Amino acid sequence: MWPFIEKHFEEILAGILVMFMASMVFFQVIMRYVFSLPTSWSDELAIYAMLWSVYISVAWAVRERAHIRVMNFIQLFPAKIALGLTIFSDFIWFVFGIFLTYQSVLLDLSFWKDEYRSPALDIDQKWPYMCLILGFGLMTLRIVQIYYRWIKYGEPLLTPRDEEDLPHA
Amino acid sequence: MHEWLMDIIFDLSEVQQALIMFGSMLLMIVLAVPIPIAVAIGTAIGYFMMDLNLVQVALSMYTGVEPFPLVTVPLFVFAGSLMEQGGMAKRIVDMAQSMIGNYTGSLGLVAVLGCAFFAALSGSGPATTAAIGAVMIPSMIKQKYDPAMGGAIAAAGGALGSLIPPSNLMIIYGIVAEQSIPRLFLAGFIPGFIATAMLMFTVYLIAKRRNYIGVGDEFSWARVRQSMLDGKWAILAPFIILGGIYSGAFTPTEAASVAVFYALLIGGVVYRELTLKKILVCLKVTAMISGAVLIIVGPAKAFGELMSLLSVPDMIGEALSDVTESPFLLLMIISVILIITGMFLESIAQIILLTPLLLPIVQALGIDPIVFGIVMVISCEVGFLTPPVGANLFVAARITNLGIDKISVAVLPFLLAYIAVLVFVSAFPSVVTWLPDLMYNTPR
Repeated sequence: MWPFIEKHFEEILAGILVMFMASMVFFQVIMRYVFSLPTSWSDELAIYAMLWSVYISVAWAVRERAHIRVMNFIQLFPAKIALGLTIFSDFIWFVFGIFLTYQSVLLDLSFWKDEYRSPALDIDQKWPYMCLILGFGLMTLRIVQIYYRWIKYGEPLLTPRDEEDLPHA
Repeated sequence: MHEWLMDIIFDLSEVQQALIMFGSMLLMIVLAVPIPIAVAIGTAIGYFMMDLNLVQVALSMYTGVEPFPLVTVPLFVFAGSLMEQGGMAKRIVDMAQSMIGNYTGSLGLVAVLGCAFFAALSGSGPATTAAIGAVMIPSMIKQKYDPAMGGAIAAAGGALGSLIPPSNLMIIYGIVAEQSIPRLFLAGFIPGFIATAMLMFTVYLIAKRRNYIGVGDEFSWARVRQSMLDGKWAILAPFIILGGIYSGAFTPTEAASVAVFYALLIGGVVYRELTLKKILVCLKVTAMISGAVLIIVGPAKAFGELMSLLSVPDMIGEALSDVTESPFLLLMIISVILIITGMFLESIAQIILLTPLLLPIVQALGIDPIVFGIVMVISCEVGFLTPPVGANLFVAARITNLGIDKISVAVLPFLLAYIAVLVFVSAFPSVVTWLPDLMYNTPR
């Protein structure tokens, strides 16, 4: 059970959210042309779905090593120094991940203190904004996980762990 | 925090603050920190120097992804991916094949034409390379094409995906520059047509020199008719997408969602090639774009705003106005800058970061923002085709199993073709504005 969750948690959630987002926008077209009932709330739900899918995918992209980074400069150095620099840049990323998670928590807490509701759907904004905490929190944990598995099992640092072919972007 | 450090920081001039922000971002990129994170670090340092609350960093990450038109981008990625997996790419290639017939370098020409057709369904360059390249590269290699050349043709043709509407890059530019997205789409048609012709001409010259003879059946109208009939559902797609937008039936975002469900319907029910497993792959592709690319929107927008706050656009504008007053030369200078930065930045990131800096400058010289958008998109396409961060090259490298270095050499003649288009469009901007002005009856 746990390995399955570990492997698929983000991609399943993000996939469902993408599907939901597409359906919401399409639903609006249908409502307008088939039932002549324009809706506005579907737009807002589509935006929430996009935000959540983006920030959950941020964490997933760490696991799959899909983040876009320019390795060419540090690879000019001999292999050992390049490895050291890679670890250093991942460390910066990790520290900034903690910073982002912390700021996201502060931001969300401010919505708990002063309630702010969306104009169209009257949704309390503290809920949608939680995608930041989840996304950056998971992202930071995924970085830690990569190093944990690198030290413990000797898994690669820079290529995805599973050999299954990744979809091309 | 030490008092003396704070004193130093708050004594900095605007120029110095801007340079520190830019320098720290650049340093992070060089150190291989993921680009969105590098931009966010530069932004955070900017907020810190201006003594603003650092919660702003998190807030900008959220509000950047909040505009509704942005939903269009993942939807078009999803739709394009479904069309590729669902068998439309194959039929489009068949169609292109029947139109070219047996001609010198026919397979290369088919690849470019196929890319141009697929570009009218898809908004992304790498996706177009993948869709058409997966079909055409193996058949080119089978016909004794140099594999690197096969990959280069698919990569160069794939870049049309961003120029021929719909286009994700134009959507992003439209959001950042506050320009009408349908207008931008229309503006891409003629440059896209010219680029296609230029690429095909380049393929022809290469084929002639290397003696890539034509293969396939002789051209016949009957065959064209048959292949178009077979591909009718694929031909219909751009009419629904673009026709829907220009008749005012859908917004671009709605058109993208219609494209998703149209692709599901055709691939799943009509062609019966779209299995659940393939749909899941498409969802993965879309999520990957979201996580690795769209995440840049928030920090890049905030970075651009801070740069404007520090009046960087004015400074660059003054510096450039000392050099030239001619709109054409200015566009050329900016294109060179964009091509160089495009070698290192992902194209969506590049547009979000640089549009707020450059747009005021070109507008001051009376250049139409729509024209500038097209110039920006073509420059980004060149970026797709130059290492180290050339997305199309990576896709082509994966299909051919060659190193990216081999393909990036083979792609050079096609780069020249794109640069020729860039120069042409900058010299005669009416090529860009003619169609949108005609359509909307309002020359601005």
